[in-house]
Amino acid sequence: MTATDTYDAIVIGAGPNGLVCAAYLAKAGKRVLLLERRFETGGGLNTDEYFGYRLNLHAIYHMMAELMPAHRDLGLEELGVRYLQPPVAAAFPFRDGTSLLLSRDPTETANSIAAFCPSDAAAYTRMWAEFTPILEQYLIPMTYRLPNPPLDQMVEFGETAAGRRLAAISELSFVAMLDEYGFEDPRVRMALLSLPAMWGLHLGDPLGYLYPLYLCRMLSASLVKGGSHRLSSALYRSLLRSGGQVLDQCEAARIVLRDGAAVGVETTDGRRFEARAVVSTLDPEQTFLRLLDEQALPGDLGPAVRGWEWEERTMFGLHLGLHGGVAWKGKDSRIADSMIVFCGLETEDELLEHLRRLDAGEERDCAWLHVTVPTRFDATMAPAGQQLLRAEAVVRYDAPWREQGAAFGDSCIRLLREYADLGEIVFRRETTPLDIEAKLTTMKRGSIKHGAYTPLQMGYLRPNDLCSRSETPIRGLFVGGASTYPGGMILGAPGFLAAGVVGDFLEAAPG
Amino acid sequence: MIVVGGGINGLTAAAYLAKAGLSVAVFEARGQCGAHCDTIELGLPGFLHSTHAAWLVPAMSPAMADLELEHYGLDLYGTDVLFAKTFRNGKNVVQALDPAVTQESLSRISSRDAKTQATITQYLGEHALDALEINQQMLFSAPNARLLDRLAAFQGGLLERLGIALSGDDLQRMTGFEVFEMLYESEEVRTTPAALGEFTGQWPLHRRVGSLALNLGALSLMPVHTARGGSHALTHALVRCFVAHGGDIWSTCPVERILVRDGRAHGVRLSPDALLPGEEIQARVVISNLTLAPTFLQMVGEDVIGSARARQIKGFNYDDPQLLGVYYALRGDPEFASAAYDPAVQRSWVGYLGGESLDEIRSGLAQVASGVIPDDIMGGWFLPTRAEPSQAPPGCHVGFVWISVPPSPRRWRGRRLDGWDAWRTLAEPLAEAVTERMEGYAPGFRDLVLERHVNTPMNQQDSNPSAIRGNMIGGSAIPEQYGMNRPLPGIVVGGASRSFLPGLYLSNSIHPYGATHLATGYLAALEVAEDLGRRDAEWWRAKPMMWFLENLGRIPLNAGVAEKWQRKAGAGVPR
Repeated sequence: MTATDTYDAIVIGAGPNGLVCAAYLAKAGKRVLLLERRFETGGGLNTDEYFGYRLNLHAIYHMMAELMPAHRDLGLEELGVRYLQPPVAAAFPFRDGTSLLLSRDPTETANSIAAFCPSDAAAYTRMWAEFTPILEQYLIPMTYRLPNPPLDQMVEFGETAAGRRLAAISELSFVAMLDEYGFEDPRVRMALLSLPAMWGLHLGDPLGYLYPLYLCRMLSASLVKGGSHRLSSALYRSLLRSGGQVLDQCEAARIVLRDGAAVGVETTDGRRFEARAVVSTLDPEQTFLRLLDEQALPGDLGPAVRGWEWEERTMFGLHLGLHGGVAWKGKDSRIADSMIVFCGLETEDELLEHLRRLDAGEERDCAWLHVTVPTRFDATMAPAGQQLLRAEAVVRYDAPWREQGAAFGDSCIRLLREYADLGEIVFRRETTPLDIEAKLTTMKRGSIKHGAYTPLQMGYLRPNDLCSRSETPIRGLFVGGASTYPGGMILGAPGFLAAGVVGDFLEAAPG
Repeated sequence: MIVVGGGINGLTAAAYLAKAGLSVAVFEARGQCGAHCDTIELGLPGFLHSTHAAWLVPAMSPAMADLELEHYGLDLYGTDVLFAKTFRNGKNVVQALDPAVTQESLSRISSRDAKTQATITQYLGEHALDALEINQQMLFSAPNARLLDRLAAFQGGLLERLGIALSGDDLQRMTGFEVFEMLYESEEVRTTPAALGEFTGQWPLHRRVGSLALNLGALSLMPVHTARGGSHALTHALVRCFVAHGGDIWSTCPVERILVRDGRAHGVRLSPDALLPGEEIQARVVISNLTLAPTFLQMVGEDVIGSARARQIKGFNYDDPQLLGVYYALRGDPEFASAAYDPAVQRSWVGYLGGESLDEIRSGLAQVASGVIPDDIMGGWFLPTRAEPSQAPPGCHVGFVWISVPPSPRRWRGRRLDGWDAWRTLAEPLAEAVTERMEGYAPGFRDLVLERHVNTPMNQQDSNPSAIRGNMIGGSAIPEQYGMNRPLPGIVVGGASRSFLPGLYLSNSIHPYGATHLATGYLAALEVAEDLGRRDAEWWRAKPMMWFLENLGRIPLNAGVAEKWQRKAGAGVPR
């Protein structure tokens, strides 16, 4: 490779979106170079192999799985992607031995809810029935279409009954959504709010249009057999097979502009690559303030980028290798069949109070965990005869994690032991928010979605109204990471959308 | 064609054959390929630990050029000092790319030993072509008696030049210790090749390793490197090459059975835990990149190979010795006390501590061989970031120490141990002892440590079930299992990789031994291609060592060595 190699497109960042974007472009016959700062590709699709344990340090639950267009278009099944769907999606064991189980089957879920509150079971059935056409007609297809400005979108919603219902609920808060459907039982409400809350979303924010996704798709979510990295590995091999090039350990230092248009990338080791299009899957601060000179930014872009908000909440991860496994104390044996088990908070009030205390910096110990035992569904995730447990707590970034990490891990284990008997712990690893941002620089302040999900940073406004349709005001420069519409969470959407836009751009201006 | 096991040698075989136009699928049990070339962030992000192979030698492999590994992203890095043996008395001996540096180091210790080494270097120079050809064939051709005759004649000539009244055949029967005592007078110089032999698995304690020992004793050029991003970069390059030539990789696909019909291997069945549970896949040829025992005892099965063959394979030695690694994230570069004696030690990314005399090494090895962990820690130290700094955050370093241990230890420092299970409780005390030992040779080391991880033989087996009791090279390279004996008599027929079961080839446990020179994978590819009539590809012609000799000047050296320790321009020998 020479210092002045020319490509059709250079994609910066080999996370899920960078890989999807590059693989689509390469498959369309474009000459693609994918640059990655780390020594491994995959970004948040990270499964570290630690002496026989496969640790999903970031992404684990896949809300879109086979619905992702890349799954079919890039033949990911042929490249080894298999999704596992545990029989139960989310279990909420309570200290009194009862438990609430949510699954992808609304009838099963309603039956479980009925044991706590029959009217809530009816409310759930009605809500699910309303959400289904909203998802099928709008939310899922919209995930993989470029966003329209809010007014145009409202016009579109007005065309069908499902659309009108979506418009009506779209600005409700998550809490108000439950009021809207008349949920009463504090445990049921806690469970239904946990699904967005586990991702750090604020339950009072007017993000109601997200709720059908966070309820129905989380309850239909899958694990990737062999660990989440298998998905990125398949994308990577699709790219290689189409002739794409990957350079890892190669960090972009500067996007090169000529006559105001992006024409290449310089890397920190002094290499320079030219291209007709540059796609950044990094966060807006890195793309526009680090890789470009702020003076080069057209009019409103600088202020928009400087106003980018990171998340207030992030994650603490605990990974345990166990001899003798996990025995849940709840009476229902199906708790163990659940993809996620929530522990610690048992009512809506407890959840809301916990989140208030969390944001106020008043929570020192772990009070709430969501837990997965991957080996229950996939024996390959740990050495023979051992179990792997992965627990995550929503935490705030601003805490002395270097000093407190181990103590917080201890408190996670104490909480776990209230709900389960654990075998002998033979391996333990904690990951703090500091580790998240050190490992993946796009997750500043531990922001796993590359920036907060606030009303002003979502939909057509993600990352801002100048850049949400993959294009930027700079000719030849495109964006396609989790900070772009529709966001993170391994939807495989921003990279897919960017590939379409870049493909059109390359066709329109043959080089 | 099916390759069972996507380790580096399986991938090498697969990549050669895919490039030769065959349709090849690799089935790998783990999530990712390249078990013995793992590089992992064990803890703190940005600190890349190469937990298995570390001292990479693909530069000597024909695969480097044939498979265009550099084009596929393998960038090798080194230091100009190849190996540094440090001593408690504050001295050190270094072996360097530049023979003048090695000479200078030896002459500080003993003018007689320096003269001996100069004579060896001169002899090798005069017979360079012969030396190169023997070297090329030793690892990358099926073992044969003619080559051993040629080696005996070559080394006999060297002994004569040195004024030693022994024949090359005499030499081949000797132990390493005997050779080193015969060659050099000073303990410091003698223990340098002995240490090299100890932790490259060529145990000087064994009889019949004399010719290997003489090679080590030459203290000459070695094609050893780290790679940009750590050892896993070698896996990446092989995977990229293989996929680019149309190869299929199925990870998370443990193979349960190698299918045999009418006395011939014809495919595999995957395990129920595999991504494709229980699936049967047919092929003309199966290459097993798993070691001998699982290949024949589990996957082919005693019912197929018969009880006598099974009994023979059960006796295959995996135990001599194993390694335990202690991995460090460091806030700075350790400074060895012996840097005051010769600062060249600060330019080496590989060295050795402990084993101050041949007797100490001898007794340490004898202890390991009899199930005891030596009281005094001796082992190799590695500081890859001196060669390639991107394996740690700016200003920081990664390092590790490897010590030889018995797989099932019975005793350590007076403490009785219960064998294999002892690893569950031994990791931390041993890591502490290793750290203490490192502190003794590099004062201040302990204060540099941000984080420490341990890789015991048990961890090793957990991360790769084909690494029986942690064995990293496909079975002990003891004389009974070396060269023409490898793996065991009658297991391979008519070459290095063709097993006694038609259609089944081996790329592990065969001659020479599993390593990053990729020789076992190369030999399997070669013999499969010959048998299928695909050995005529125009690109398949690189010779061992040639890539290294041709590119030597291009490989970056000392990229992570601090300015104050860099070799000064124009100065042959820093002081």
